[in-house]
Amino acid sequence: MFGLSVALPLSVVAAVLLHLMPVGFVWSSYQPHYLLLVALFWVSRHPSHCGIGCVASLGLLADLVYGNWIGQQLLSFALAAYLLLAINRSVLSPTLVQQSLIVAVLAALVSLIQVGWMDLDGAQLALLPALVGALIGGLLWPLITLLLEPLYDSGEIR
Amino acid sequence: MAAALLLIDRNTSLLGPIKTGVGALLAPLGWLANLPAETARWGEGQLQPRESLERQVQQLEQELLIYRGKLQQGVELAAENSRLRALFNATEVLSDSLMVSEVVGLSPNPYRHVLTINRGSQDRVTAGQPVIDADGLVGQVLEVSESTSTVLAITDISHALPVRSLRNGVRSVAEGSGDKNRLRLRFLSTTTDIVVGDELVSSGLGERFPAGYPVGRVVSIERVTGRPFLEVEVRPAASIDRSHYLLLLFRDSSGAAAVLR
Repeated sequence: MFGLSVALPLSVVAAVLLHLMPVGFVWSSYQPHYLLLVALFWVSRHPSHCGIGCVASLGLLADLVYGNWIGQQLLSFALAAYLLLAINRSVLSPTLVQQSLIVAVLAALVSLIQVGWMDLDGAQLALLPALVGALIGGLLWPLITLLLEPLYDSGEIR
Repeated sequence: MAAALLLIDRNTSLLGPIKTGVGALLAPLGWLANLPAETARWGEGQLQPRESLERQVQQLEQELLIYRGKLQQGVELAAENSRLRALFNATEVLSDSLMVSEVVGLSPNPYRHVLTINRGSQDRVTAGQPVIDADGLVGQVLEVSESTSTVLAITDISHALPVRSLRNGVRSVAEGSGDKNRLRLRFLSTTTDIVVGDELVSSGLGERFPAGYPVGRVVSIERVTGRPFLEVEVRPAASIDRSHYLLLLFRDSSGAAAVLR
């Protein structure tokens, strides 16, 4: 429908909007990382256009939106993108269920890194919300692909 | 690069202006994200039957009457307090003016307790200003943009405020724990006179928060063998995760408390 220069920012704005939507402190702990899911979608579908650098810059945006120390999510997003690209090289054409599982594991990894940073800052460990959020992210993956796939038209003849 | 940015951000304030700038850029998105909730609230008000609204108004009028009655007693006590302070040559207690604000957003980061309110520099809001709700201290203003501000809640892990016990005046520091229902008291020796149920109020030390505002109630005290200090948990008095309306405190040297619009 759109080129990547429109589709990617559109999906990022939608993810930021979902993050900013007031849902209460309790649900916000279990919320999936929408921005990470969008970043993983683009890097899995169009790695030549949106690679590790692109995902890292979305991590930087996540740091600014989340009010973290700048660099925290930049690092974890880049690591998640690197791992996803490595997995994609070894698992050719993964099914949607396999994709969901990979995304849930990567989201859990990003959340655990985040929890680790918070632990360093003296906060109490909130492992369960982090893992539940990652699991919800994995479950949402089919819906995200369904919504984002038609958004981008690469111009390729299929 | 990420490590360098982390080091710079953790140890200096060099990246502060960038964060503030991005915050200002995200303000319209925050407004947009808040629109569904606002519309739902507006719709709820429109759909409520007239009888229910009348009943609500009647109840609020009665509550107002009760509070006004209590306030008369408060005025008398304040005057008496003022006379006694004058007798002891103590400094005059400043009155606080209030401004009602509405919570329009929450930090998307589940580990940070930061709220966004709909008052900003155009309403004379300044960074560091105390914020309360109907039950107690909520936090302080962190960053101010033109029409909105962010409030750092007292339960955030980066927050600490000086408190004292209402029962015996014992002073301590209440630190945020990252849990919205829990604060920690630090550096209380194992011989300190503190019991479960003690009410804590702001002590006014540090001059960030005015003295006497409810902070919380002690819910558990643990003596850990080998540690020189008590592990004290406090439940915040304010409904940090539920209050929709908050009050901004303005220090008023004229001595007259007022409600600002």
